[in-house]
Amino acid sequence: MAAELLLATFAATPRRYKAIFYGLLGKDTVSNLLALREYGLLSYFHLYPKLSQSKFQAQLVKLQQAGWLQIDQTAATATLTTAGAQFLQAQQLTDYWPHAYDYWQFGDWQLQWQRLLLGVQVVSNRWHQVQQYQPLTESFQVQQELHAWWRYWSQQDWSQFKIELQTILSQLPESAGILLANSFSSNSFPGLTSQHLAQIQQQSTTVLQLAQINSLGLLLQQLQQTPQQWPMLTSLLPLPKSPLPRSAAQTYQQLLSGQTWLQIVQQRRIKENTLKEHLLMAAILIPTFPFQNPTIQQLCHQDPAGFFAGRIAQLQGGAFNA
Amino acid sequence: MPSQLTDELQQRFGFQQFRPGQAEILTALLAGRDAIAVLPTGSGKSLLYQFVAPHLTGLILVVSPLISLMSDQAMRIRTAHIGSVAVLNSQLTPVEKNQILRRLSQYKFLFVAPETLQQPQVQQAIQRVQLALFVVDEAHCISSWGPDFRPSYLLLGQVRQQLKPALTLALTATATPKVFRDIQHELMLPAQTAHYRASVNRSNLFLRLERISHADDKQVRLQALIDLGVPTLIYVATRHQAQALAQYLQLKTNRQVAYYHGGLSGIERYRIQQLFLQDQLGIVVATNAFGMGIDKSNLRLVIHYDLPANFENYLQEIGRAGRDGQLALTVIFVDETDFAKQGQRIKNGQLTTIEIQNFFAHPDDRQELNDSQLGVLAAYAQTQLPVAQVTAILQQTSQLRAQQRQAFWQFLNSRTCLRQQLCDYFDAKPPEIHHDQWCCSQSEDESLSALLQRLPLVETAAADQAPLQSVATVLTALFD
Repeated sequence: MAAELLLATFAATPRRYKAIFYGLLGKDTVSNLLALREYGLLSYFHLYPKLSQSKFQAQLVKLQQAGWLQIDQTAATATLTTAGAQFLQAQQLTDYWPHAYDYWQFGDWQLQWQRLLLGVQVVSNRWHQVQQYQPLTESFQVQQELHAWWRYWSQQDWSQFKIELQTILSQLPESAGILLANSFSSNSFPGLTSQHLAQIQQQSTTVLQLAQINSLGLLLQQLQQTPQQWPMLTSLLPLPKSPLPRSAAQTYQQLLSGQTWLQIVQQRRIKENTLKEHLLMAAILIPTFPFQNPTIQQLCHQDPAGFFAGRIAQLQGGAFNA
Repeated sequence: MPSQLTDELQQRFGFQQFRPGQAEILTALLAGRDAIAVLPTGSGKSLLYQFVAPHLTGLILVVSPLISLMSDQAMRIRTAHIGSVAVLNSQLTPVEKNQILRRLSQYKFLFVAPETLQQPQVQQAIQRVQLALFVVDEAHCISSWGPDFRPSYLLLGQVRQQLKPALTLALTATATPKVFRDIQHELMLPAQTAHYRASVNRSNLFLRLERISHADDKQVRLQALIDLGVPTLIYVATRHQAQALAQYLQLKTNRQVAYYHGGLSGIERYRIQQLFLQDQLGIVVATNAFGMGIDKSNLRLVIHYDLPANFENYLQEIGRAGRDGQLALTVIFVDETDFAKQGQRIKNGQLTTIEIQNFFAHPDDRQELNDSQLGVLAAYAQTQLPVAQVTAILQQTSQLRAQQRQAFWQFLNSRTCLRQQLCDYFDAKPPEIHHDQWCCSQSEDESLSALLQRLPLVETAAADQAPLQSVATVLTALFD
């Protein structure tokens, strides 16, 4: 990622740069998620799963040297300077970030990207009766999913897939549709390298990639709104059932089903603090989280000055009233 | 026996005859002898274990260092219907891995990364089935003398003893006599192990050494080379350099250029490979990540714009040219400044004893180490070797690297036949090379323009890469 683009993750008030780094990397601790939520960056969670810490730090230093960012090593925070804010605005750097893609609604963008491209490659090659080719992705998971998807639809008319794709791409903003279409590849259409695409669009490859993620987000939004209209694409690009990891989702379901704290603890045999973190994750990620649930209230009353009650109060937007 | 083998080769694989060394190795394996084969890149090493599959009862286990290599080989076996294949690597989830291990008896081939093979669960599953053949691909990784030394390979000898395969086959494309001895020793192979060592000499490759005295020289000579218009691969030292040179070249030529390195996504690397194979890309500027598993038969020109780290890398990289047997040109730019820069890069990457000890004591402390250094230490940590031994190995390899680099520099500064020197370095019994006008030359003896005029390189019509297409056009190309 280019250092300038990183500037868009900072503001005129100090932000914990480690929380931003770990957030972009995809570490889902309560502390990181709370920080990302506060900074308005929650949807960019896991955007750069291979981001290296040394490179991230080098970029911060570069931004500091340019006079755009002020770093406080002791507090481990960074703040946009006036010059940085002006540069950010003048270059409209925030616009490059993929606003349409929300990790918590759509899942890992890399997986969705690979599913889409591999799906198109497989159908296109089958259409042209090409049987021996190297799949676009080496991911075992994605290849297995594609096998299952292929088997499920094997009796269907594959022209339906083309129709779905054509319709959905034409409903996206023109630039997004063209960008996605030109990112496809099969033996009958070699496509363009990202480098060449970026060159044509007069962008860097980093900016191009963010535009691709954004376009993918726009497509997934369409699927989410009217899934019945796109049965093949919806099953090719499944959306997560819950933003929570499995274990946390289970704890949250127990809460919703009216179980007491004691019942949850006894059934799960997991450390209490871990279970509390599950609930905090749910409170951060689920907009309809029931803050007034008796179990939540009970936990907050037990230790009003504790971490759990404090975070719940913070998320509710006020102090907890004991 | 050989004529029966040739018949089988024709029937099962459609080839008229074996490449050098294949029949010898197959005869040994079928007679129940372990074997080491040193065969040039692209000479059909994987055919050896594919060929013997129906002759052996039990599993063929192939240890391979790269995920892309495993996937590529597995795909070839599947599409040729040679047998059922499974691949075990770090990309699998525990559930997927368990599935494969439970059904191991149903597979004929199992590809596995050396790190994965260290896992007790994997070894136990393999011990429950009959192991017909243990194949160590890229076996030179076992030797600290080899340029691609990989710590987890060190434990393969021990693993082999535990798994007790009926047969063992070690395969590599580059092995000096010393590396060859290390392979035999580390894998604990018996003295009567059969071996075949092909000469590294490839007569259709013209070797050219281009001495550079000014930075601008490189660009002028590069321009003359890319004006040839033949499929070209340019090796550089760093990712940054790959990107910068590709961008520079894009301004200097109408041909399509791309850069390639390990930092690109798998999809992007795949697309570049495909476009290059289909002659839709004329020039690729790459780090040494462009290599194993990529077979472009009509590559006519390989340029080392920056110096490779050693003889082995040089040999492997020039070996990608002219796989179709037609004349191909390989050019290496020799610049003292580059040599000094390379030395500095190596020095910066070296680990001190204290850094190694600190890592093993506190693995979570990054200690200002870069990602590459952390990767090396993490690989050693997986082997569970004691820290003192790791320190000793790292110090020894660092010294060896320095010696190898010096030997390569001597080669680059010598005035005798380059081909003869390559053979002398790699071959156990180097052939005597009859140097002629198709062999090699240096810039002091013949100008580059004179050379390019006299070399009859076969031109390839490279298609222009398509511009941005409309959605309708793309979908028509994909589905109509």
